[in-house]
Amino acid sequence: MSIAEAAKHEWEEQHQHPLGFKTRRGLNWFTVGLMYAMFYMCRYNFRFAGAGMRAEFGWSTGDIANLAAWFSVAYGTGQLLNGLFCDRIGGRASMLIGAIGSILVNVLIGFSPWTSTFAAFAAMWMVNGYIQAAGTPGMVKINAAWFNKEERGLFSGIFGFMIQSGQAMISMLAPWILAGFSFLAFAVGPGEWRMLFSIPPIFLGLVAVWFYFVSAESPDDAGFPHGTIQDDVDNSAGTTVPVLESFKFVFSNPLVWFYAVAYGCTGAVRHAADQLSPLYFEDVLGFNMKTNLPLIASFTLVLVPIVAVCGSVLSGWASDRFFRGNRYPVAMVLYYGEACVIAAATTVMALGIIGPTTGGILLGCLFLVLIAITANSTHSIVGAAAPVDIGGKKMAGFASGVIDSFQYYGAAIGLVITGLMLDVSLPGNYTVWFGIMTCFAFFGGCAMLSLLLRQRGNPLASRAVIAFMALLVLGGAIVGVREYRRMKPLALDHYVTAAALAFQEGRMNDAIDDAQRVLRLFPDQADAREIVNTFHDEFVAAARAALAAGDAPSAIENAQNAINLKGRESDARALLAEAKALNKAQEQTIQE
Amino acid sequence: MTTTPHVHTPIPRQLWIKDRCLAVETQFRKSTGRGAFVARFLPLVAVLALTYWNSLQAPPPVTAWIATPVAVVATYLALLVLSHRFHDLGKSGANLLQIVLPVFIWLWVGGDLMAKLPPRLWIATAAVLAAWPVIVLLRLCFQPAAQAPKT
Repeated sequence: MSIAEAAKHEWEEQHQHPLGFKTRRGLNWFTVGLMYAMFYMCRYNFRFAGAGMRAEFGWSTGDIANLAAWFSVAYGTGQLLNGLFCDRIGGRASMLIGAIGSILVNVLIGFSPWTSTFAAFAAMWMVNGYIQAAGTPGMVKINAAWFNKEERGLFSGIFGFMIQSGQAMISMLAPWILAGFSFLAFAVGPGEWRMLFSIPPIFLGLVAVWFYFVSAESPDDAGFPHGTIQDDVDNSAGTTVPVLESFKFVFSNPLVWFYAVAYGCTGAVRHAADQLSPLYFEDVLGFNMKTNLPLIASFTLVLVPIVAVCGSVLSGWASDRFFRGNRYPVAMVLYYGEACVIAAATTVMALGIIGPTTGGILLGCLFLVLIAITANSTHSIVGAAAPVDIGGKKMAGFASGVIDSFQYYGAAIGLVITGLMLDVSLPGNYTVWFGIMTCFAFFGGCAMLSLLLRQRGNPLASRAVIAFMALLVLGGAIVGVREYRRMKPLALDHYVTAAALAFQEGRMNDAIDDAQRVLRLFPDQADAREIVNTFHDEFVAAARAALAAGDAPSAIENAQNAINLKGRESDARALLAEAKALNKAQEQTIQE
Repeated sequence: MTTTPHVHTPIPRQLWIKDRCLAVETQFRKSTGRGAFVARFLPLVAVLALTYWNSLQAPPPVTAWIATPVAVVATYLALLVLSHRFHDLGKSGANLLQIVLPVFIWLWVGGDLMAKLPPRLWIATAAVLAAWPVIVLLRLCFQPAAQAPKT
């Protein structure tokens, strides 16, 4: 018998369940997973509402990005606190509270006119971020009670699928809502972004009702005998513990911190790859992502979630079957594999092979797909399976909260560093993007290596790896700061010249892009400031002229362009309001 | 670690769901006598015939979409009842082959026969192939259980 067959045989012998259990667990998992996917619908709806909000309230693109960032901060912090309370009140209660809160906040945004101020909207959206963070600990905690240690890897793979399906659902629903629709006597016109906050909560509400009636906290609650699932941490009956007990156990458990550090690295790579890939397509591969998406870009964007799910499921299954439910060996291999893939991408990028040529595009897209497989595989086994292994059914909520919060903090650190370095890079050069991701992936691998050595009874070697990691951070910071200082004047010279040239040649968009980039690096740069001011004044004048001529759509467009240039400093906000009032009056006249 | 011991008494709704799940896992293990088989199988065949008739009645641009799930559910239930009766007779494989094989044979060679043979011959062949499963189904309606029913 081969090793694989023996492992399979042993695994099957150990996982005999009573009759009806697998079906009941499948139903429970489906219900909990569907609920979690619906949470995503009430969170990713914001992505699609951005353009509408910008147009209606005169917010700049930076404002929208800030809202997303504030949401992430609230979400990360919410994971920590809600995880703790989740262990006290149970996973079902946690998910239901999260669902009710998210429904209320979304409906409030959808129907309330006072969310038009930036501060009010930011506050509401942060509340949504905080309350949504009750979902993950709740889901992880419920499933902790339903799966043995050697079954959780596969469960965590399916968790990855649920995330992707929630995103896919809102991606399909949002264009349909924004295109306008009618339902019985209820008609909604096109472009009504508020409906994006009113319709998804209906789905979440319906699934929450189903969840309330069908889901069970544990097999004991569902009528199966106690001991159907063996919990390695605490196999006594019940799934809840006092807050203090959970806090002490999880905070004093070193495993949590190893996984949290590694998960921070996953967050840095995953979010950097997800959020900056559209810019990479445009800047490096020369695609037009706004109006004419090339086939290979569409193909890559479709392939990424599919391979991400396959990677998650495979890595989870492998850790179950061949590593007896231990996640760190698989995670370590994945992190180092990821580091190798991204290091190869960095080298190829630095050599100038990736670019707007056939071979360059294929290679560029292939690297993105490979990064997606490795990043999402670690995302599932470290983020969903490891917390359950650590906390068991009673403390998985807080363990998940701590580990998952690091993903968002890691993402914030990674994105800030990448943004700073990309700002001082020359056009089309994304070497630093790949380079920074390589460092994070390698760092995650080191965290897992350190854990591996510790678990194998070699604490000295484990500490040596930790010391090496500390040196790595120090070295990275010194090299990074030095490189930033070296690149900044070069980039400044390049973009000032490019902006001036584009301005002289009348290439407005290029001139604005380059000038704004210069202002990000050096806010007082006179030439760039003058270019931005000139175009801003031109847009304001055009908006005024259009308003005087009664052309409301043109006035709105020009006023919006002016606001996008100078943000809140712009005096075009009053013009925008005036143009919108005119537009509304004209529409009413046409209807009458 | 100190935790307060809990005694779990599942609520009736959860026990009801558990019973449904048990039924899903054991549904193909039961057996059905001839009377129950007739009472369950014939209405399902009638429903299937109705859905087919409905699809014939619908004009070309209209899809008979309501009929599709009805047909799917009726087919599933018919297979379930059939398997229970097979268990009752104790010859599941032989009976299933006698019902399924003629259908496969016709799907395999029917087109060729219709194209190459005169109508009299291919209609006769089709009739024989159709009669065989019908005879088996009729036998299922009348034949008493050959052994103690499976549980």
